[in-house]
Formats: sequence, structure tokens, C-alpha cells
Amino acid sequence: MITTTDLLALLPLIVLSAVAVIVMLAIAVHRNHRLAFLLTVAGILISLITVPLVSDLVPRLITPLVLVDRYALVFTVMAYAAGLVAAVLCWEYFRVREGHQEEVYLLILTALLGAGVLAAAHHFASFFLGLEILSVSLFALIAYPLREIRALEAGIKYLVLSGVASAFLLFGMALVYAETGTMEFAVLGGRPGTFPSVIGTILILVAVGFKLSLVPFHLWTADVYQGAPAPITALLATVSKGSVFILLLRYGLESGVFRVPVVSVLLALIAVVSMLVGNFLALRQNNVKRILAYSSIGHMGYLLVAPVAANVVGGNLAAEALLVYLAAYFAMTLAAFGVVTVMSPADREAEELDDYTGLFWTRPWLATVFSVALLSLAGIPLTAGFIGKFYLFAAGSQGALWMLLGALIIGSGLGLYYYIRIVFQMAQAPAALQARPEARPVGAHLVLAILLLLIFGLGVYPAPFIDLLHPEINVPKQSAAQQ
Amino acid sequence: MYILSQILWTPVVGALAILALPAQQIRSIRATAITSSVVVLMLTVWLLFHFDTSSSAIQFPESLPWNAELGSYYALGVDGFSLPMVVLSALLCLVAMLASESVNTRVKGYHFWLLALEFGMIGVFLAQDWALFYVFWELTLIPLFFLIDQWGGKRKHTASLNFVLYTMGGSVFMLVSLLMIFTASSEHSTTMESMLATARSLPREQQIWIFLGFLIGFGVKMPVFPIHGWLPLAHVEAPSPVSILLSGALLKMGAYGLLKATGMLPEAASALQSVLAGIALVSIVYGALLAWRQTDLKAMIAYSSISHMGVVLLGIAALNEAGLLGAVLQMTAHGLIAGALFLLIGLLYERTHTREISDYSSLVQVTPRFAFFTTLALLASMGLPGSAGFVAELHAIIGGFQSFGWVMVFASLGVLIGASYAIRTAARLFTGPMRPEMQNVRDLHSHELIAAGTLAVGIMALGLVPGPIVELMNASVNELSMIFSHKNF
Repeated sequence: MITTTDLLALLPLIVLSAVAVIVMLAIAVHRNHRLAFLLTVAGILISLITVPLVSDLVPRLITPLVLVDRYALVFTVMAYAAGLVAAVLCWEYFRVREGHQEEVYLLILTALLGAGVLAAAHHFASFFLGLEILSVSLFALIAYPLREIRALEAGIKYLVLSGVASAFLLFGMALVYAETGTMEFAVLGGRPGTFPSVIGTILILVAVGFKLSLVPFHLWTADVYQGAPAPITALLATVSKGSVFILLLRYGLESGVFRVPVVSVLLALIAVVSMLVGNFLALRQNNVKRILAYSSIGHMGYLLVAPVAANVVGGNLAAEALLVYLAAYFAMTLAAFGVVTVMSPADREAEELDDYTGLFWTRPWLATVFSVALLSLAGIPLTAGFIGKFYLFAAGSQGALWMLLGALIIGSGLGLYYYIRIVFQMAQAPAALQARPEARPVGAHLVLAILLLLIFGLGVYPAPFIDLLHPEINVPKQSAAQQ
Repeated sequence: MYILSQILWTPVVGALAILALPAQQIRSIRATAITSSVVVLMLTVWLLFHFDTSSSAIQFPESLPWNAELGSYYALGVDGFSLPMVVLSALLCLVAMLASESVNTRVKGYHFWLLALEFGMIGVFLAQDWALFYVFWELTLIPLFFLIDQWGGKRKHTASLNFVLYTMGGSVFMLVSLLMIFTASSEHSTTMESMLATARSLPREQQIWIFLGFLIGFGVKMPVFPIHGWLPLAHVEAPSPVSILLSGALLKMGAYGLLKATGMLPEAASALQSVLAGIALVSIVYGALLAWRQTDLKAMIAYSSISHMGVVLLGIAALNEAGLLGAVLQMTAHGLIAGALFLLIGLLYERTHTREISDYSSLVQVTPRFAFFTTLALLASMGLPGSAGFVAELHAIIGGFQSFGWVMVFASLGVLIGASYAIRTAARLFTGPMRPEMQNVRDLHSHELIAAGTLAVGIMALGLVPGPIVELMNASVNELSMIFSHKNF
């Protein structure tokens, strides 16, 4: 039975769903880009405000499907904030382009809804539902510029591969269910699986690996990142990957999957390979979006250190490391794609390295933001990326995962090279000073300024942020008993 | 009072003031930059007089919690190792500012970055917390990257990229070592004091791994033999005021860090003693040989830096009082000498647009002051008795002899080669036919003379009356060498 308190605890999701409906109706009644945008921003802000209201009610299990706890709420805030940034970037991006642009906001809202469900998922059903709400929204978002062949290609690519991944996921879930008779994560933990359910688990992880673009399921990443509109790529890189990671850790901790030797070895291997392959592939790129795509593969590999270490260091530290890194990754990725968005003229995207030559002279503010975001991605001290890496490193070294940490170090070293290459390109004196572009997207600059402050804030004085990010994840008791 | 914070933040205030000035007001930008570095220098000199030389403890300590979660502090302090380096950095920064007259493109940005560099450099030497140290260490890269990349010579892009990648690659290893100590510590604090206690209690094998990480991290900066690739290019391509800082003060950061690491991991240091000595000897001889082969004066000085920093490493490797004292003295001496040489060469290049040694024949007739100062610095660099180089190298080699015996022959070989190229260059300045194109070279004047003169006085003072500076360092050197003489790690 669902009580009023349960409904209250679900408020962030309910409000967001309501906003999605309102935006849809508003578009049906009066098609207006500004109206849709403002409604969306207001709606996301209201949903964000509900989060502190419900934070006293958690942790709360609402039906077996959804567990609203601090861990889920913290990520929900991050995802909604990222959605807000993406919406503002979309406004700047689509405003100067042709076609009907209003539905973008609707799709962003539904994608956020999917992410919110994933963060709170506690059951295979909600896992699958959340993932599909998120993915279906993303298909449409990626292929949103209907006249652009590359966007369409990217959309189809993502659709097909995502469909295959969903099939794997369903089959894996079916295998696990067939043997254990339950779809609840927590109950699964009490029933150690045998052969078929391990296969099922691995199939589930394949699907998750696809969503996270981990090697060897990374083949779609660069093309989709490149083809999708820049603000959508930002959303894809942050909200979509982040929510799946949040789910992976919860699923792994509660169901005890990480303790299965085969699985933990596989995860560690995938992590190492992702870090190395992602960073190596990024070295040879000349397209900023592709560089960021390959580097994101590496970053997902770094993030896997947290789940792999969770066995030894415990769920709380792992979850904290994950959230801190994700927060940093969100801020820096959004800032980087934000710059790409603002840089893009109306007829194309500024994605070639050459587009950034001499940016320090022509548009110093954007160049500064981009450099900070890139240096943070590289993990330079005083930026958020460093604190994130530090947490992963601390978790990894407590878990004695030396091979993973070795790969992390090598990956970071390689990363420096291609990130600094972009900074370097921006620092070069331009051949001829171009006329200053007349467009002055105020909203996007404001967002970039906030992101810049966040990157520095988390890097220079992280204590208050980390207090906010403290996860308080529910770690099942039996995990201790079984060890 | 917070004297150290005042020293540290004055360049930042200066840099911000410069940012606020309009870019056309070149004179006031220069004046602001020079004023703030004069203030820093005066504050450090004040520090010099109020420093208690009998104590090896950290003095003028300041500490504020910075990040409670990591246990890091904004902790500053000086001891006998860091104080000379702080004064040296402040002095060389002023010299570099004075020598920056010729920079006339984007003056505002140039002085801003120069002050930012001073902030980072002084921060490294003042930090008493490893997290803070690391932050300042990395912070020096950003100004340097821009200074070399924007105001450098022909191959500035390659040089700046090489420099940043080398140093960052090295500092990753340093970071890993620091994190290994941090995770082993029970206090979970990054203060140098607490990390030192933790590191000394680690098992021997782990200490060795950690020390190797430090060796790579600090060795890149010093630089030592196999990882010195960035140095010649960066020094030659950097604008000459930046070369002064690069060679005079920034290389010392590596040596300073290595000294700290030696104190933290005494067991590893004595286990790796022979490795360190081997690297040092190779660096000395190899650097000297390379320098000998150069015809470009700036490249010659750059390579000779490898050789001279090898002497520092040799002193550290000796792990005894004489050696350590020699290392610290050599850090100061080389800072002054290399600073003076890069200053003079930079000024000479501005006037003649050549750095080929063979182009400089009989310079003494046109520009006697140039010839005098250059010769003085060259002789000091080869270790002529009565100059700073002599005192320092003597101590280091005596220390090495006590620890390693006859192998020190190789160090003498390096010194010999050093002498040969120094004398060859000096000879060029005095002999040969007068070149017609050198007829109109201006001699040193006004503030250039002050800058060169200050460094020359420093070099001679250190050589003739080494007493005061030895006294300054003695307590700290003693404390460090005691650990090794009693083997009570």
C-alpha cells in the first residue's frame, strides 16, 4: 500500500513527470520556443526544490520497485542540475537553427525522469523501465536535427546498439529470475547464484557496459558523440552515463554481484582496458567531440575503480568516491560541451581542433572556461577532477587494486597529452584576428561561469561539497556475514 | 604577523593590480611588477635577519585547516633548507623583472604570468603540507607554459609542450608516492610532519618504491640524467628572464623536494645510495660533455645546468654532513651563477642577435662590463676558488669522497670538462679579431648593471665569506645527517 508519505518521498519524480506533461500540453496549445524553454527551466527548478523537502523522509522503500535514499537523491540533484544546464545550452543552440525546437525540452525532461528512476531503482522492473525511458528519449534527442545526416546516423546507431543491449539485459534478467525467483536487488543478495545466474549477471553487465561505453562495448561512442548536437552530447555524457553508474553500484552492492569472483575480475579487466584503450584512441583524434568521446571511455574506466573496490572498502566509501567523481565529471564535461555549444555557429558545429586556434585571443572567456574544464578532466590539482581522482585513488589503494591504479596513472598521463593539446591550440596566436562574433548568449555564459566556480570550488575547498555529497547508501547486512 | 603569508601573497596582489591596469600603460605595469617583487625581496631579507640559526625546527609557522576531509592544511614555514631558496627565488624574480625591458609584446600578460610564477615558486618552498606543496608545484607549470609558449624563441611551441608534459608526467609519480604514504597514515593528514612520521614507519621495501616515485617526480625537474630531455629546449627557447628563473630557481624545486624525500624515507635513501650516486656521476659527466659540444652559448649554459645539478644530487647521495651541506650550498650557488649567466646572455643576445660563441670575439674592447661579469660567472661556474661554486662543489665532493671513495674521480672529470668549456668561452670574449658588427654593442647600463652586480656580489660573497650562509643551513643539515650517521631510522 502506498501511503501519503511515500508519495511525498517520490515528489522529485512526480513533479518532473507533471512538468513533462505540462510542457507537452503547452506545445500542443501554443507552439513557442521561449515558452517551452521557460516552462522546462521552471519545472526542473521546482523539482530541485522538492529534493530538500523530502530529504527528511528517506531512506524509504516504496513498493519493492523504488528505494528513495540519500544516495538516490544526491544523484537526482546532480542529474536535474545537468538537465538544467543542457536545457540552457539547447536554448542557445537551437534558437539560431531552423525547425520545430520545442520538443527538445520535453525529451530532456523525460530523459531526466528516466535517470531519476534509475537512481532509485531497487528492482529489475524499475531498472529496465528507467533505462528505457532514458534511452528512448535519447534516441530522439540525438537524431533531433532531422535534416542532418550525421545526427540521423548517430541516432540510428545508438538506437540499434541500444536495442541489442536491452535484449541482452532482458535475457540476463530472465536468466537470473529463472534461477533465483526474485527480481529485487536486496533479495537477490541472499540467494547466491550458480552457473545460469552468473551468466545472466554477465549479460546484464554487458548491457550496462554498452550504456557506459566501456571497452569492448564502446564502438558507438565516438560517432554518436560527434553526430549528436553538442548540448545533447553533454546530456548523454553526463546524465545517461551517470545514472547507469549509480544503478550499477547499487545493484552490485545489494545483490552481492561484486563478490562473485568472475564478475569482479571481469569488471577489473574492463576497467583497465577502458582506461588504456579510451586514452590511447583519444591521442590520435583531431576532432574535439571525438577526443571528448574517447576520453569519456577512459573516465568511465576510472569510475569503475569505485565498484570494483566496493568489495574491500565497503559500499559507503565506494559510493562516496563515485558521487564525488561523478559530480566533478558532470561539471567539467558540461563546461567542455557548453563551450563547444557556444562556439558553434548557426550552420555547423565547432568541433575541429582548428576551430579553437587562438581562442585565447579572440574569445578569452570561453578559452579560459574550456582550459579549466580540460585541465580538470586531466586531473590537475585545484580543480574538481583532481579531487575526484584522489577519491578513486584512495578507494583503490585501500582495496589494494594496484593494477587498476597503475592503469589509472598511465591513463591520466596519456590524458594530459591530448587535453593539453587542445589548450595549446587555443593558446597559439591566430593567423588573422577574426571579427568578434556578435551573438552574446547570456544564459550560456552564466551557466559556464557557475560551472567554472563549481570546478574550482570542488577543487580548492571541497569540504562543504563533500558533506553534501555524502551518500549514506544502504549496504545490506549479509554482505558482511558472507565474507 | 603572518610574515610568510605576506611574502607568498604579495605577488598575487601585484598580479591582480596588473590585471586591473589598462594594457597600454606599459610603464606602470612594469613599475607594479617590480615594486611587488622588491617588496617580496625585502620581506624575505627581513626573514633572513630574524631567522634563528641555532634551531632546525620549522620557523614562523602558520597553519589553517584547508580541507578537513583530506586532513590538509594551509601550513607554511621555513627551515634552513627552504629559507635560502625563498630568498634566492625572490632575488631572481626581481632580477628577471629588471631584465624584462626588452619584452614589448603583450607586456601585461607577461608580467602577470611572471608574478604568478613567483607565487607558485615561493609557495613550493614555504609549504609545510604536502597537498599544498603539490598544488604549488603544479601551479608553477601554468605560468611557465604560457611564458615559454607566448614569448619564447623559434621552437617555443615544442619547448613548452615538452616541458609541461615531462614535468606533469613526472609529478604523477610524485603524486602516487604521496598518496601511498597518505593512505598508509593513521592520522589521515597531509602535513609534512605527519607524513614524515608515517613514511619513516613504513617497511623498507615499500619505502624504496615510494622513494623511486619521488626520484622520478623530482628528478625530472632537477633534472637528472635519463629524464633531462625537456631542459635544453625549454631553457634555450624561453625568453631570457624566464630562463633565469627556470634555471636559477625552478630546478632547485626538484632538489629541494628530493631533500625532503630523503628526510622522509631515510631507509630507502640509504638503500638506494649507490644508485643515486651513479645517476649523479653520469649527470655530472654527461651534462658537462654535452655542454662542451655546444656552440650556442645559451644551450651550453643549459647543459651545464645538468652537470651542476648532478653535483647537488651527489651531495644528497653522500648522506653525510659535508655532502648535504654541499648540496644545499650548490643549490644556492648554482641559482646565482646560472641566473647571472642567463641574464648576461639574454642581454647580449638582445644586442647582437647571435648566441654563437665564435661570434663574440674580443668583446672586452667594446663592452668591458659585459666581459667582466660574464667571465666572473663562467669562472664561478667552473668552481674557481673564491667563488660560490668552489665552496659548494668542494663540500659535495668531500662528502662524496667520504661515502664512496675513489669513484669521485669521475666527478673531478666533470669539473675538468666544465673548466675547459668555461675557459674556452671566456677566452673568446678577450681574444680574436674585432668584429665590425660588434662595434656598436651597448654595454650594460643602469638597472641591468644593478641586476648583474647583485648576482655577482652574491657569488663572490658566498665564495669569500661562506660562514653566514653555512650557519643558516647548518642546523637543518645537521639534523638530517644525524639520521644517517646513527642509522636509527
